[in-house]
Amino acid sequence: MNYTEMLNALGHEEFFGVLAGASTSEIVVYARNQDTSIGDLFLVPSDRGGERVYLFRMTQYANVLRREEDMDPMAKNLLSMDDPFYADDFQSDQLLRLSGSLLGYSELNDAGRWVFRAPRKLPAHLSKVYKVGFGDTASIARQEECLKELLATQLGEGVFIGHLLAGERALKGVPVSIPGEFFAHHIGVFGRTGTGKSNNLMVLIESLYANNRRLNATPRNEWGSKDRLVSLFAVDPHDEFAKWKPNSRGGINRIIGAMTAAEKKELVEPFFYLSCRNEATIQSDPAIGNLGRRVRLHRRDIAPEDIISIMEFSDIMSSAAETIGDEFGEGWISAVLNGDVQPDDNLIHKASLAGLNRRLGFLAGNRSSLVPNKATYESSLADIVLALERGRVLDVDTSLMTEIEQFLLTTVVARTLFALRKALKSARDMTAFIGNGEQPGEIDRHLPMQESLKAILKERLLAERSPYLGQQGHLISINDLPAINIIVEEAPSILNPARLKFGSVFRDISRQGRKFGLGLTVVSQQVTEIDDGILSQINTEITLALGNEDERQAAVHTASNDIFPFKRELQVMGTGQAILSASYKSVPLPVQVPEFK
Amino acid sequence: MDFDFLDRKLLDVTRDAVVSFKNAIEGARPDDKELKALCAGIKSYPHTKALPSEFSVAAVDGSGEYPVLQQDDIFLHFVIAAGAIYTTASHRQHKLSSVEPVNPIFKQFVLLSDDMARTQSSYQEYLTALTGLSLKDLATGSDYCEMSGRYGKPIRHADVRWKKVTMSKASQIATHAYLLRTVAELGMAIRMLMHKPRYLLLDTSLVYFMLGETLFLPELLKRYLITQANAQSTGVVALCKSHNIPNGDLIGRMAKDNFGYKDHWYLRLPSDALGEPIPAFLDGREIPPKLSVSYLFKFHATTFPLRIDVDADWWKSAIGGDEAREKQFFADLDFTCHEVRSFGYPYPMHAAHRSASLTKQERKALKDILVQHAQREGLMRGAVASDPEQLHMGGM
Repeated sequence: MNYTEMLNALGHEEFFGVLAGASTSEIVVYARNQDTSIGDLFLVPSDRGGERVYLFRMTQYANVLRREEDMDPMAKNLLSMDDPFYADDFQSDQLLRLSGSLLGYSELNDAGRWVFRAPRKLPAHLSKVYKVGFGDTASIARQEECLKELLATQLGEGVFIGHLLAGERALKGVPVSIPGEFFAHHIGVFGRTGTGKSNNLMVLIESLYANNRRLNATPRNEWGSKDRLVSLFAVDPHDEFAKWKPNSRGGINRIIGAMTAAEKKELVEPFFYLSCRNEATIQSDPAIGNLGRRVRLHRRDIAPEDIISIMEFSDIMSSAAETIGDEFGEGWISAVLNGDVQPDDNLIHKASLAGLNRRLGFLAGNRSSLVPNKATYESSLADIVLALERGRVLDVDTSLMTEIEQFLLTTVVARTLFALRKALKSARDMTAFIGNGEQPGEIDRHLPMQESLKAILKERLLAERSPYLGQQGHLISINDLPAINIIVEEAPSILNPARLKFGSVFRDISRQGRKFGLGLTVVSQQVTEIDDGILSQINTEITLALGNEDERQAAVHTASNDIFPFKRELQVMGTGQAILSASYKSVPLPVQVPEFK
Repeated sequence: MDFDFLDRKLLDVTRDAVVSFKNAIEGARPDDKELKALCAGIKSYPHTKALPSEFSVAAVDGSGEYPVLQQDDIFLHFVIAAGAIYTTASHRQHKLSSVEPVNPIFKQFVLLSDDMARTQSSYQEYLTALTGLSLKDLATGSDYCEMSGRYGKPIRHADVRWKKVTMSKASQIATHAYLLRTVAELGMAIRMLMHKPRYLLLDTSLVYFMLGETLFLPELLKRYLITQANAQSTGVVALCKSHNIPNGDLIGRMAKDNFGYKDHWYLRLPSDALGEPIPAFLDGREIPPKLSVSYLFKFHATTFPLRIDVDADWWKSAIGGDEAREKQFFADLDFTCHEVRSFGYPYPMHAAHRSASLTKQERKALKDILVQHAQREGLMRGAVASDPEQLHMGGM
């Protein structure tokens, strides 16, 4: 659509208002007395200095009269005088005064494609202003089509997040997406309870499956530059993603049910569901069947830094744990809990050892359903890691886990994947990655303790269908592996400044994860409680309604785009409504996440 | 101003001025007997929600920028006049329906200079643009010459010429501002006659100070308007926000204290045009004006008493001393005063005023446009200064 076609599509005389004032800080429009709402989007074509279409978002509006300054006396007259009336010209005097901010403008590039730019220019005086969502169904469809084309570079392609929100209306014709590549970066999801985070995540899961199905069916050389398979480690505290809500048509099971056998094999198998429920119960659940597994870790999977990342540790205790780890290797937890560690006067003080013992108490005996005390190595970790490296969405039911177990699982999985990706990047071939009898491999260097896990991984990474081996048997590049995104639920518990002070696996992942294709999705009700270092590494924010002024202020401060004009709305946004901001977008986009049905 | 506020002389002079002011007011106070006799004529009329017969009502108002440009003895004035016309619809929700979707507006630039020939020529063009009429048309279509003879020296139709029209030098800006604006309003009123309204409201009085003395354009237009209006039974109602009746507030107080009317009352003042003796306190004040009948009245408790002047001939034919018709006249006007935007004041007047008046932003925009043109045409910056003093004080 060129500029003239755009004007025709908008319907020249179907304008909603006229630009009265435009400055770099505020746009003022006088508009027809028609229904509108805060957050509505308006298109302002203007050919001053080039054919452009500006996008204006209304944040305030007021009822005004064309030729009367003050309506107070009228209201008083109406209330207190005898038989007051309006003459019939009152209606034509009623106008709206809209004000808000200019989000930017689009202009055609040399290739004839509309490119959206930050608002460095203003539309001409008295330009006509078109509302998106004004008029009959056909007009609205045309307006949405225009908007979609104008914002094409901003709406993104890949993983659908929601529909562009204009006021109270979700524009069904204008989907907003995050390209798969950016799931290797870090995402912040901030919103108070009841804002629809679970539904948003369910929609995201469905979109990730759709993304992966689309790419699976498309030859690699036809993928877009930002296309990437995405794996998700989705913590599911309410055990709802697999089957979704009672009386619903289903959750992941329904999505998978619509797949062909080949797609299931490529995108789902051998499992998508992990739970602490016993294996028989899972297998007997018809909605999950043989695509569910009991999740368990072994003490040998856990490194000292995992525990330090999720619990309160002093500097001295951290040193003691690391020293014990160095001495006892993957058996360090058993050594501590069995009393095999002897305190000394150097690094393992008696008090530190006692403290460490107390902190590991949740793993003693068979207290933990996630980490049962087994002599033989039985763990889901290798399966989880390999599934994520194959582009899988894993629904991890944590409803039967304690909070600390949930954090531990997330931490161990994240650290192990991070180490594997670093090893992969360091190695030039599979031998260098795995090592041989004489030389340790990169995997040994980056995963220095987990011998049991490594033994399994080495074997399976060499086997047929290894995610790390290309078609010619060469070691695959990280860029060709799926982006792996790990959801960190209740993030303030493990990503707060105090916890990150003495070292945390998440500090390293937040700083370096994206170059290894590993992203975190930080989910929190509070922005203020998250460590500044972590926040500074987040470059996609999905901000839902926030409870108090401090949190809204922090969200505005943290966002990758200027979302200050949305600040007031952060207080009143409805369920599923969010502001999507990202460093790779020129403009923050309000979105309505649809209800997962 | 340089003066000492503690200067005894200044304080004395100030007190004397205030005392003189008070004496002037009290000197014009009617004596109790006169006041009582006058106020015996106060009558009430009902708050009007519905009308026995619907009618149309027009109103006009004027505005402008006088002058908008000036340099040396050349003055460019910008004149605006607007009309508004409604029909009543007392059984419909909105009560007043616009006859014209957009109120008619007249806008004109008028160039005046101290060269009288040029000024007269400008006024001639202005009158033609406004009414499409010549002085001759105005004279033959009105009783002006006849009435002039009644109150002083007669004027022959042949003497109604531009050279005879009383006009001051263009540099007497205030005089021309009044002249231009009054002519604009009357000219627009003449245009509004085509709608044949029952009432045509003017924001002025019907005084004729110069009648019988000299040919004065506004009075000629006024008589033309009234003659034409009377011919089609339109009542020209001149509404004066300042009633100018000495101690008029006393009458309002008596209406309330003696009759219990806090609003919706009227008092017809004795009129010379009806052959009535004029009370001493109104003598020589043109209240009622020549050829007119005046009322002091109050539409609503929250507004001050106002005065209206109507032509005596129209009064005789439309009211003629019939109290029922008189009350209906006020009831009709009262009906138009209940619009929320101007409660207590006839809405058509408010609408005409709103259409004619230039807002602050509009004045600024007009000035900006003129400055742009002036710069393009090489005019001096001083030409757009609003006030010559501003120019001298501010320098070029």
